[in-house]
Amino acid sequence: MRAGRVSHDTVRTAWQHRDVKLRRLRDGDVLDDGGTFLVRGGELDPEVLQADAERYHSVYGSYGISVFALLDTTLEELAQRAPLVRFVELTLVTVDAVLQAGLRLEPTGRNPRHYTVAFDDLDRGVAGLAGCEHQVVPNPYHET
Amino acid sequence: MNPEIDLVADLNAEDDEGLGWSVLSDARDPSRVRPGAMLVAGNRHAAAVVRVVAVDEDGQVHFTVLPGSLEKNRHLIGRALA
Repeated sequence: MRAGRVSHDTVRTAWQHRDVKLRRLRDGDVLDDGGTFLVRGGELDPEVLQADAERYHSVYGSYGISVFALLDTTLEELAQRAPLVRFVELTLVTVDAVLQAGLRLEPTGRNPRHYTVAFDDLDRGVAGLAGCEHQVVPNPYHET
Repeated sequence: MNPEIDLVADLNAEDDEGLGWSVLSDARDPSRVRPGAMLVAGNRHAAAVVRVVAVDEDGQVHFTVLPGSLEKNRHLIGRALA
């Protein structure tokens, strides 16, 4: 079954004996300012992070959690646009905090502000991200 | 699963094209998840009406997130755009 317009490259991994998709990484895109804020809709709820990371793994063959970098924009701008406008609360964490937790930041997809917090061990990765120093702020643009 | 959610998804997640995504195995009724279908996606942190753009062979579902509230977009749920 194949429907719609989205196309992807796939690769077969020998250790999993199944096809997974290759993520498109933006060449040369590195978050080199450790003070840059990353935004994620919702709290860093370990149960939700684990489910999201497992879903990511089921498609891409590695563990990952999506965040948006506050680059050339403001929190207020991102907060009133989809998808973040759909969240009652937003979590802010710095690049440094993520890296110091032993996690990677990969520039994934065509959206220049979208990054994936990547890790190899599910439990450690989820605990590392959930344990990062962070702030949770209300989203004033959210409507129920 | 929240009874209102048709497709459990992380609304933060974007695919390579910048679309939202989830997987068919997280759908309440996978037969409803077809290109053009409007349904509710999300989890306990956020939910939105989304329009399904594509369903891949591996079960990955790609969608666009409507920015409006569930209340404002409720009338769209269940519709299918060609």
